Amino acid sequence: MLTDPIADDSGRDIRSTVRRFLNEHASSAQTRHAASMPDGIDPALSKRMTDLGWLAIGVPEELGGADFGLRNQAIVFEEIGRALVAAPLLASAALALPMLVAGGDTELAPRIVDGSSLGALVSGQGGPWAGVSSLRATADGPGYVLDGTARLAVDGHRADVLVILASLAGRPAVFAAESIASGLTIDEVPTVDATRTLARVSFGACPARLITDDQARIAAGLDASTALMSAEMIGGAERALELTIDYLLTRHQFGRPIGSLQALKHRTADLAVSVSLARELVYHGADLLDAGITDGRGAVLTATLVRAAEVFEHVTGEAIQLHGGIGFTEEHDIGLYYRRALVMRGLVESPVDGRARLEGLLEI
Amino acid sequence: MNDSRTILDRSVLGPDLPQVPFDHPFRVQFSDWLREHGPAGEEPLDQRRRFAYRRAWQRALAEGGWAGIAWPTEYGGHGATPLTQFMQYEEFALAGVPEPANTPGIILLGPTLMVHGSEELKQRFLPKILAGDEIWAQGFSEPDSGSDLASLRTRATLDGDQWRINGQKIWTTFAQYADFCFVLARTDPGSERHRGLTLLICQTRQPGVTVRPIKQISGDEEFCEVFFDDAHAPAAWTVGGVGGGWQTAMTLFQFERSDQGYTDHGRLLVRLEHARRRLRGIIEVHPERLSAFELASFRARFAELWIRCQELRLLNLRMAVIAESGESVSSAGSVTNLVWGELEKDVAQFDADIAGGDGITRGTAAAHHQLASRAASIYSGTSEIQRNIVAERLLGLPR
Repeated sequence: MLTDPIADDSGRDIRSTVRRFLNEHASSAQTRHAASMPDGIDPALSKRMTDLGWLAIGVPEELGGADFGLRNQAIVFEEIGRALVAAPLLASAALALPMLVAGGDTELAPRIVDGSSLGALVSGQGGPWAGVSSLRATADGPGYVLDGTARLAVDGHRADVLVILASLAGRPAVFAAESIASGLTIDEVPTVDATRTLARVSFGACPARLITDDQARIAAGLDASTALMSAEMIGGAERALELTIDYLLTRHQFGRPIGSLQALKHRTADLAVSVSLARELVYHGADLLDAGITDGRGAVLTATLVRAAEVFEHVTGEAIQLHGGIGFTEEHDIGLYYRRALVMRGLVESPVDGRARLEGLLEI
Repeated sequence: MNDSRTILDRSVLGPDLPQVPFDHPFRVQFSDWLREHGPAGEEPLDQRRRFAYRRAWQRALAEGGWAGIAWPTEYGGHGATPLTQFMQYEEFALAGVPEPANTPGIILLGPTLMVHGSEELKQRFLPKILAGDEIWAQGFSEPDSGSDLASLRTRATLDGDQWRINGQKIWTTFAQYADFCFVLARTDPGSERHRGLTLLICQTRQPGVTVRPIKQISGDEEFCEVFFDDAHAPAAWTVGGVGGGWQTAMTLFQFERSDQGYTDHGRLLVRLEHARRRLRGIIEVHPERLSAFELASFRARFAELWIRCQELRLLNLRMAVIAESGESVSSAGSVTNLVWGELEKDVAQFDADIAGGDGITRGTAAAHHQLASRAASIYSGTSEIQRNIVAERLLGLPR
């Protein structure tokens, strides 16, 4: 867009390599085809990306990763978002994995990194950021059992490992359970976005293993997830805007490209500014995590999530308007981005909740 | 001067940035100096006293060696890089000290002279710009040439070794205090648009120059009309060559667009922090003064403005990083200008709203800021002009 927060050679290499791969293997025709299949995903695509090591970039070596930083991991997710990849990469590597990494879990994290397991993050009402989860954990002998129902777990029905945020004695704690565990019911919830499905997960005395109840580690895991998820959203916003600019350049009315009309130019400029600023926030958040800076980090990551969700929805909605009639047809790709944006906006927490959380962090 | 100026904690700015860390020796050293040498008391609202305050402040900065740090050492600066400037602006903001009186001279006219001026001009003018001994103004806009600057009509003709200037400039900042003015004039009578323009240095205190301050809605008179009736300027004081005026002016605009940003996110974040404290004070002492809706609305607006200030901070950092690597910020400066201009107005309005009755009472800082802020999205290129630049030069949309 207008500025480029990825200024170093290695970051640019990662970006161009992933983009080239996804242009070839995740074109919109391929994505539409995968989404029309019974399972709704392209399992081969996830496997290839996993095999290439692209989901291990931000993971420390001792957990099977490449230890190359969250910033570089965010670049991969930005590209995945641009391509609207129909594969459970977000759920597994961006939502579940960072919690396992933050908890230092040496058993499950390497399985997700090498692709032998798929993970999903499950949290109660109000999403993972709700101070007290509506899912309850209670001690049961040497282990724990979980009770409650969670909606909106991304790809929860595909995962074999569930990473669960639950309340343990009134405080957030992270647990893990295999999807075949007893007392677990998982139902797919279709969404308006054909490329992203959710699940409802019910726990009834489901046995689970405690990963961590260390609040600083949980915060770090959530912040890392936020950065990656926001990167994915901003990638989508950016691509939707590029498609729109292409259209403004090629569509002619009144004998000239409609992109020469100032009313459309100014709107487009404002959209580009909003995407660029949100991208700066995303990479700033990742940098804070990589540098181990904790003061003020929560506020920045919360702001990032709010902005990414709002900008994605706003830009894709405007993109439909700027495309005119073709913009709201099923055949045009711009609608895919808009529907993805709607799901993401409603998914993790509403921007209103995010703003309320930010107000608390800023002590206003 | 004051022996212990209160300096806000750096956390007001947001998180630490690895590129310009809070414990950077420059920050620590400069902040210590500010605590000891920063000007006493608050900046006066009355403009004449304010200008005097800023002029004294510039002298103190220059004596301490902290004015124009980005200037090369040969002209009295430190050759400080953009990232160091970024830190200096943040430290200025935390200490609550204003910009020096001759800021246009330091950030725009001086640097333009360094690029396009002769060695003689540099030696003659630069040291006095830095010290605040001579104040400079920039005469570009005209009554009928604002956003469309290339249509300007002020003309200059060569008469021996002197230019004779006739015409009118407007929106000339602080011309009433200025000793010298950059005048962009048409020197080729048959020329049109960008061709045939020349940048001249004109002494303002001479019979051919009349300065008439323009009273603004804020009560300030920051801008002036300047009339030229056979005003003289030495031919040797031509900057960037005869006919090279447009290019020279573009150099200056680049400085303007890129620098504006570095300065302002810190000041805005500090203003927001004061508004936050004021609001917290009301909540704690007089909660009955705020309805639930007002409180919710103030909190939401604060959070939104804080996000926008953080975005501006990152954008400014990005510009500083680009400049640090030796590249030109170029049209990306328009993004900064656009984001800053709109944010400046919204922060000022929030501040005034939190101040309640004070926000609409003449003579208060909150009311003054709100009125003055309306200029932010107009001068140095309106928001609409910046959007055109973003759309055409950065996004490639056709003219």
